[in-house]
Amino acid sequence: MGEIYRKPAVGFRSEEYVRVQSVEEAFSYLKKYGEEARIIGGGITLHELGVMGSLSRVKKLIDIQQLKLDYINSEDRSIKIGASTPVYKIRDHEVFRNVALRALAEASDFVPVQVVNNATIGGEICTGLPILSLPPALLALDSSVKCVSADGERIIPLDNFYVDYFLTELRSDELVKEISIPVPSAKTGSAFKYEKITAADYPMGSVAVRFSIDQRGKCTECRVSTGSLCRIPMRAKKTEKMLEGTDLNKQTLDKAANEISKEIDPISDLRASADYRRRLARVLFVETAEIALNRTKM
Amino acid sequence: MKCMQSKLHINGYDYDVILKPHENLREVLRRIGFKGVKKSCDVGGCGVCTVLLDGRPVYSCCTFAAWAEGKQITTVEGLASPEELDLIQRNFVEKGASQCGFCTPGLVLVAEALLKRNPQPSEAEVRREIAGNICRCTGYVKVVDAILAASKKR
Amino acid sequence: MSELARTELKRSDAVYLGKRISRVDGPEKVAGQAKYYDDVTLPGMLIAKILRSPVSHARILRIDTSKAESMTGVRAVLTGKDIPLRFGFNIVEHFDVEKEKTIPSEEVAALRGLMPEPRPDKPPLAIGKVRYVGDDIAAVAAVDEETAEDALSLIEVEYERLPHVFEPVDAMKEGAPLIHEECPGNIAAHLKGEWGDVEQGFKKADFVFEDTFKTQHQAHCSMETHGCVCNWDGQGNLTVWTSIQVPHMLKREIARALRIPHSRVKILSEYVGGAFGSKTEMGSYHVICAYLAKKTRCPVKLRFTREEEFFASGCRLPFTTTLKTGVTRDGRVTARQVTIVIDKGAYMMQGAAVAFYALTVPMPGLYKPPAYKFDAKIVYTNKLPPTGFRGFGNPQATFAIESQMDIIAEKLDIDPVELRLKNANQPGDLTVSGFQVSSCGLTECIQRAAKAIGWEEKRKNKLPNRGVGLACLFHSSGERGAYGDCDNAIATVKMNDDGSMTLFIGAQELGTGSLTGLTQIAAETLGCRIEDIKAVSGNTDLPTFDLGSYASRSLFISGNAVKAAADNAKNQILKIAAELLTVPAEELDSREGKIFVKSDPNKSLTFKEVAMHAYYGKWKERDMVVGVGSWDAPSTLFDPKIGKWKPPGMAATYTFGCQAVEVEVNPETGNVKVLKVVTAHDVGRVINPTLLEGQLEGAIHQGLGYALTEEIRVEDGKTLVTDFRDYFLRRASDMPPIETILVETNDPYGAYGLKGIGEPAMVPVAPAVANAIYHAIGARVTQLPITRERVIKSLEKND
Repeated sequence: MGEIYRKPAVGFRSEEYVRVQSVEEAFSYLKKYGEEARIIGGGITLHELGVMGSLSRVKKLIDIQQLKLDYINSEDRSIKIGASTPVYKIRDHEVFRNVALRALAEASDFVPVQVVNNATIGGEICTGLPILSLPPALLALDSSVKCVSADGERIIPLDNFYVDYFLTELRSDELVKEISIPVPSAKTGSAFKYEKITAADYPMGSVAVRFSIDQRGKCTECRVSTGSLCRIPMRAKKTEKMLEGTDLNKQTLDKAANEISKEIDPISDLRASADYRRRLARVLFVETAEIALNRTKM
Repeated sequence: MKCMQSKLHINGYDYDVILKPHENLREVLRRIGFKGVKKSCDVGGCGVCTVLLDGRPVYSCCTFAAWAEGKQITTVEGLASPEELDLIQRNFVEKGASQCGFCTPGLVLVAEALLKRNPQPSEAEVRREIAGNICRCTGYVKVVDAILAASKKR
Repeated sequence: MSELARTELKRSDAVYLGKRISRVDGPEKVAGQAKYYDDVTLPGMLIAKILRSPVSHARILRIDTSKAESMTGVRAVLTGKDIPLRFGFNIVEHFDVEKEKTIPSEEVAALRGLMPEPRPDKPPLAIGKVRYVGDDIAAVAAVDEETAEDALSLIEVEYERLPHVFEPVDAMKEGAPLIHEECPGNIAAHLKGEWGDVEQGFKKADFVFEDTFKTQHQAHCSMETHGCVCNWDGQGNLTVWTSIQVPHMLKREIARALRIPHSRVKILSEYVGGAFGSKTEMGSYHVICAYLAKKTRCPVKLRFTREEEFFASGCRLPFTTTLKTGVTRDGRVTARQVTIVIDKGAYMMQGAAVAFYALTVPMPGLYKPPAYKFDAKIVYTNKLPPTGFRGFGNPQATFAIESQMDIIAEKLDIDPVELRLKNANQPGDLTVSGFQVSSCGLTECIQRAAKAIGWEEKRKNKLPNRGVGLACLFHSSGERGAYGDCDNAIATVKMNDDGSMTLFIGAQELGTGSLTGLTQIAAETLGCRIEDIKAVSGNTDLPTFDLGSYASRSLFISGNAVKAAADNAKNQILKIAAELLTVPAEELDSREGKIFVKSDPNKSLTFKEVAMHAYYGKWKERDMVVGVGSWDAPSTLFDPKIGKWKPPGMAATYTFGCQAVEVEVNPETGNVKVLKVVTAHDVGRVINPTLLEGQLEGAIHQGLGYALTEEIRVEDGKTLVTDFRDYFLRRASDMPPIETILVETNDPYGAYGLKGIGEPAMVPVAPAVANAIYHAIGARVTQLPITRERVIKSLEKND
């Protein structure tokens, strides 16, 4: 007797494509079908997963374009981005040209343009993939996510949103409605940098840095986040603490660069080994931090 | 499986189609007869299936066909015929930007969208914009030449 | 073989040659109207899918296809027992009472003394066992793709795992599991030989260098994946639409696989979406598809997904090369000895031919070592099977030769350019293997490439982290022996009744522009206007022949066939014109659509007038204008009596070139930024600068990928790359500026002096880059691709 092999199913085998007209209608599908329903952002990651065979049990595809979640609203205390906002609109929007928020504009300006035109911020956040560009930039800007369901709504700081590779805090009966970014204080600068093997590749590693400084140039607030380096997009909190309250100069930044390299627990994959990612974290941090620092003075 | 009656607006005309819920736009367009939408990789990697959605290039293989309802879809067939090529296409031919031709429709569409949005791009901007399209034959040299030449002639 | 009149054509006299003529198939391609096999849709067409092995090595105990067969929408399911044959490159072997084997000619058999017997080791669908993850087990034809996919999941395979080997060194060990029972030690082929006396050569040397170099699996990444549409008519004729470089050879192989006369197979391949060497042989998919079409009596389409393309379509052979070179104090090569181990994966495909080319062309050719010895083992492993790829073993060989030359240059304290110039091949050289170099522009290529990159300045005043490196190449136009004692083509020219011409070509247009180049040659030779010629190819029912478009041979071999056909047609046209103009034909010539009296050009006729007379007038000889031309290169086969080739050798003509590269390396990240590539080539004669540059630029793109980023990673026998996201191809914004330098050396054999140019630019990229990196930061990486981590490791080794 030998081993038996039957090829696993691949592709989509869905039952229905639903264009929901209201949030409530969306909730009813999510409540009823849970993991067998999927909200469509731009559709790119869904198709990638589908081709790989991960979505053969998904029955309902939920199109939320009618929910009018495509907006960028600048309010007094925060900027609110609807979940269906395509990445190209974030890339082009004037509010993110501000040096304080520039990291998000830079993270939204990636190659290929076809994905930038199609992907939505909701999709970018919800996939739970660490290799996308927006999450680390959003982390550095202290973003939070409004998740809504039939049972109400909850605001989750993005910092608490990622659990593991492909796993977020989002429940199967919830959908992401909006991302909120607090308006930063004056004398804030942010930057985002990545390293890729070839131009259209996913990054091997990315770093986003935000500094706020006081009148005397001391760092009052620091955020350092990484993407593509670890299992989830995450903040390097030890590195942040090391820099808060200090003067930001070559010595302090170099010291922090060594810290980030030690602090992260990087992954090994086709693109790079964990060791290389540690090296990359250091190099990227120094480059990104320098730019963010310069921007605090603008 | 609930198939849907749908209306897709392609190259200026309405097409009544019956869609499976998960069918992607690349499959549907080819099925209707738009063979200029090519199929090379499995999903989202090469750009030969690029179409314009409301004037912006997207990968049709990663777009649900139903999702595209109500939007303007442009394929290479919507640009011109071989006898009366448009400016960008003529430059592609003259400059040798097409070799095996498989990636050409996608590249032409990206170029069309780029020059509409940014009529005088720099070489770096052109290269970045077409970086989502793989060409294995040309090394991109003459593709960039053709797009820059077309931009100068406008 | 028709004798060619050597036509001298001054550049200033040429109407079309040397001009940037727009490619004839350009408008269709940019309008999206060019149709490839996947664009073919026939009524009742079925879609085929292949079930593939999930394990590396296993004996198949049982395959139950009953559930798949009874699924709604499934029309046929096949397994190995339905297709009782095995095939390999150039051989099909049926196993039943009537065995059909290739019948080699005497010379070819002698060639085999050096090159191994063709190896029929692949059944289209597994018989008995599977040998790598991805191996073909069963095939389904169904009404649509989704049904076919679902049907695959209903096929049940029971297997017994066998021990596997993934590395050649393990596969060759005593007691290693046999992948092909008839191959002890898993050695698919062992090529050995010596010309001259290397022991003496090493004794004469002042220094002997020995270094090992490793290259990787590189994917062709043709944008159009492999596949075909097969359709039988009611009378036993098969039409195959497919993407192929060798339509006539494919016709032969498919006919042999199906045991029908060759004329009953028609291959249609008007447009090919890239090939680069991966589409020069019949594949299992052709046979499977033809059998499914026969069984269902419907047209059947089989298309590889991109995932299948990465492991099942063949990739570049990885070489581990140990190169031992002896040099005198002043840098002359005295002996070269090479030991190569090749990871052949589960099946041979073109493995022997690739190794053979590397061992007999660049290795004894480049810098003409007076003594040369080789020993190459092609070893089976339980992994994806590689095959031919642009350069055909030459990039692998030249990576070793040219990396080592820089190591030698440093030790001897000789400038790398000086070292190349000292050893450069010259016109008239005879290599130890018997290859006679006729035209050769290598010295000029080296000098001009070095100048264009700014060699002197950049070596004298080196900038931190920046470096320049250089490498040369020795390649051929065409090659004799792959299919027999031949390297040939036929072309036909017909005049239509309105004076326009139809040119029937056997060469296959792959995107390289050979269709356009051949049309230019025809127009120039005929003296007609180029817009009045329609070129037709990609159909084996046409009155043409060509072994195929590979080995940089299309313009070279078919160019001469086209020229001969055009010369032939022109003579007939002049005879008819002579009757109309009442002058002897010798006093006439033709140019740009007019036939005129040489001494009185105002006395002229149009091609149309001649055609009307020939077709509908009182042309006394009554025969139509049809010119047929053929050409077989005057190359030779290996002669066992003398132990080498008689001149000119495996090809009539050899090609040369030199590439220089400037890089900037980031020592912290190991990132290599290529700042500029200069490529100088001995092209014989430029037929179309745009198309020629296109070949060089495209080859450099592939070469840079080969050098720095491309690799099909395999782990535990499983191919990890499933789509382009995991295979790092350079994009438009990753490409450096490329400067092309074309050196015309007026080859004695090519039409109007041309040489083939499809492959050469691929060959020296990797060593030029490796040498530039060494100059930049002192990191010598001897394994491809030169990834960031390898650069860092090499730097750390230095510390």
